[in-house]
Amino acid sequence: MSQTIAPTLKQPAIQINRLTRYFGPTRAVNQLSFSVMPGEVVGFIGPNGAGKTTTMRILSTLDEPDEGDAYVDGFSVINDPDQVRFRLGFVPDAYGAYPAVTCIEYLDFFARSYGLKGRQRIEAIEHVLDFTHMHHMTDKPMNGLSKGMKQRLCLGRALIHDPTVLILDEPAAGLDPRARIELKEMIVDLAKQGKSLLISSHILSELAEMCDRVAIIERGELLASGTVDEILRKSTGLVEDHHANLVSVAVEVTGDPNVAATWLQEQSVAQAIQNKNGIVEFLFEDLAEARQQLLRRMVDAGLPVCSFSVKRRSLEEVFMNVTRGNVQ
Amino acid sequence: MSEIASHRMLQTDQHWVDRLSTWFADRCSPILVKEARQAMKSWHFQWTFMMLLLAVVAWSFMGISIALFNDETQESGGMLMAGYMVILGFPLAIVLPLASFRSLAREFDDETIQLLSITTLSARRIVLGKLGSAALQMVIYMSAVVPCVAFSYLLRGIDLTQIAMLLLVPAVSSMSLCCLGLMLAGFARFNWLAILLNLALMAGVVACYFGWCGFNTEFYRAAGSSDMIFGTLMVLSLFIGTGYVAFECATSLISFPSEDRSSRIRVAISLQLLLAIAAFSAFMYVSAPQNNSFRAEIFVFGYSTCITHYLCLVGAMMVSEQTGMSYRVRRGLPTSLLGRLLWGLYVPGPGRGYLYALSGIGCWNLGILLLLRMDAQVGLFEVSGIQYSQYMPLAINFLFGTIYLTMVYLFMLFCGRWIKYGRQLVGALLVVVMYMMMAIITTTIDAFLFWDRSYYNNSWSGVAQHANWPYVLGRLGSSASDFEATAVVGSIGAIFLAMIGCGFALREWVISPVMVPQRVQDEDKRRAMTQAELNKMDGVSLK
Repeated sequence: MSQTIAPTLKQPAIQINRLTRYFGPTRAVNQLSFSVMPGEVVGFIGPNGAGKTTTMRILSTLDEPDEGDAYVDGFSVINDPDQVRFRLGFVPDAYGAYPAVTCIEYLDFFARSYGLKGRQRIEAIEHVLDFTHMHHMTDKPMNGLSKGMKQRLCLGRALIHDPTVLILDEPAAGLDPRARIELKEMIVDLAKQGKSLLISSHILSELAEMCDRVAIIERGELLASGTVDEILRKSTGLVEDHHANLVSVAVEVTGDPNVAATWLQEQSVAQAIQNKNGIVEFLFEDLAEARQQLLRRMVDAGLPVCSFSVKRRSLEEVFMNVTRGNVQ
Repeated sequence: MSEIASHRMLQTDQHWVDRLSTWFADRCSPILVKEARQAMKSWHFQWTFMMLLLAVVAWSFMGISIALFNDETQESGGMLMAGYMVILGFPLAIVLPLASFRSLAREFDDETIQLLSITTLSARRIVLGKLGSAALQMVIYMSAVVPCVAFSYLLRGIDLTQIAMLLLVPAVSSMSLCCLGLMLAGFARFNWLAILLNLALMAGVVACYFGWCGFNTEFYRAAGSSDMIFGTLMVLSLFIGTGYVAFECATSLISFPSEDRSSRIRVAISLQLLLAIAAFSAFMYVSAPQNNSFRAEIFVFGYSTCITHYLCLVGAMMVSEQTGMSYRVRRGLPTSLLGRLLWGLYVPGPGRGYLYALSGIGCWNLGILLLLRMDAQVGLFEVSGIQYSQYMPLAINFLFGTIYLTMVYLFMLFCGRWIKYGRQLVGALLVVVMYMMMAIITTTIDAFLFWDRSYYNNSWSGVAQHANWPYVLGRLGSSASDFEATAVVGSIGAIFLAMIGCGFALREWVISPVMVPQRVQDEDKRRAMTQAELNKMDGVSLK
């Protein structure tokens, strides 16, 4: 996974400042602010109608905000859309296929549209075909491609001018498992190349694997942003510094689980101890050595432990905790 | 990689013909290349071309047979040519504009317009590319009739000037209709609207085609007469002007909202008016004095009426523009005082739009008035038959144009903030409704109150009609003097109303340009230099 660069060192690849967009009386995006640092992969999640696509369209210079501004590599999407377009690749949720156009003609057309000429254009097309593994598809008409192949081609189209920032709107929607895994691999590769990515998706488990951070919006407002653990801590109210590095641990014991829960409370080593269907769950330090010691102490204390595991928080859990299911 | 490199489009060691085509394509608009590729593959192009070939061959045989039957082979070139032009008119006047419309409307349909919009292609290049593709198809269609045109010329009865003119008119009108199609497609954001606009365009182009057929027949009959030549030039100027305005509108419709979407349309309208003035003057100077049956007053006042109310309509759309001006537009404003003064009317904004349309209406009618006065004193056009009282329609046009325009401007100024979408359409609708309502309401009042009395016997009958623009114009046109007072008083009222409008509009006049940020300037320079270097080092060149 790409490294997150500290905000103080470089200017953000994407900076959104108090972005607001109305559609009639509906406020699709409301005072939205967040940033994506260079080389960072950020998941942009929210329920349907939360304002994700509107934000992405504004960032891609397809729409104009009513208030606020957004910057890509320091260039305003309102005042300098031309500069933004050179730096940005956008994969919308609709593929946008041209009838009677083959894959290579499609890529060639967009390469020309970004001002690539001669050898430069040829090299760009070769690179994209290589990256998306589509060299055997060059002469196939776009209409004859499967959804997965269309998505690859669309990603290739967005990469043809070698942008530094990529915005992907629901890239995995409707793809079969194999195509999804291949897409995920490509996104990971792009992150390794140092590109900044903002990805919206409903397949949260996959997003969690790819993203450095997530931003959750609902009714056009940013509800939370940060790593999955950070957001979960905030959403469960554990925001104090001394709770900063905690993980959820699940312990299964034979017999009465309350015995184990009571023991943990007496030892004062864990937080938020709960008995969930016979499994004791608690928050504990995110250090392997500390967990080893705790397990040894539990066994030494005669507790009949039959399983001890770290329960990583899923993005779904975070999402459900943070959002309220409000739809505009 | 070997598989990739083997693809013909990616090879650098091509045959010189391929290298030539690559070199040429690199310098063409990408849209043109893509559209041309798509068009050449499309069934409608192939079928139209095939049908065109068959039709011209069939007409050749038929035309010759008719000529032989009438024993007129020596002078039958004109007749044959007229037939060829009628055949050629079908793809040029009907197929191409509809194809242009579909080509842009489909971009909205397939949602590919958003992919195009985020490339570095400007809206202008997108529209130009589509127009270029239509032009290329037009050339191919025309190439099908070239041998037949040569054949017509050999048969005599038509000279090279006439042939050139006959080819120029369909070419220009076809391009103009394509621009119109592209403009309409710019509005086609919804399926139902696209269907409606497509039907409207279809009706328009079919009407144009029949007009074109009529023109051909007339041209064949009146070949060589100065009336025909100047009539043709007027038609050409109309198509060129309208096409240019439609082109700028199409560009504006698909531009990014923060861009200047108004100035170029205003420039296009100015050029359209200049062309109209040129055509008007040329016709008055050359053709009118030779024609005894020519009704100068109808021509002059008809022209004035059309232009005034056209300006009122486009002016209503201009005064409906958003008041705010983006930084991007302000960056493009002239910085010198002279530049700002000269360019002031072309800067976007409702106030400047109002001043633009108002000055247009004023200048246009005043210009005609001065021309006619000059004619009366110097004998410039030598047009007889225009009485002094008949100048009154100019005042009436000015009066109603100014009043309606100012009312729309003031409405938008005070109530426009609640209209978020389609402001221009609302403005245009307002003015159209005002024109219609004022005519309908006044006629209704008149009919109800004075239906049983003779107009001339009742001093109050017809009072309401003083607010009815077509009625007043009609009365003045028939030399009735009872509306002269209306014209004079109304004009003074219109000037007063215009002064109020100008007072509001001038508040907008002072605008401060914004400097382009250094980073953007540097970026543009760097990109221009990189592009120039790349062009120099272009691996796929002709050398």
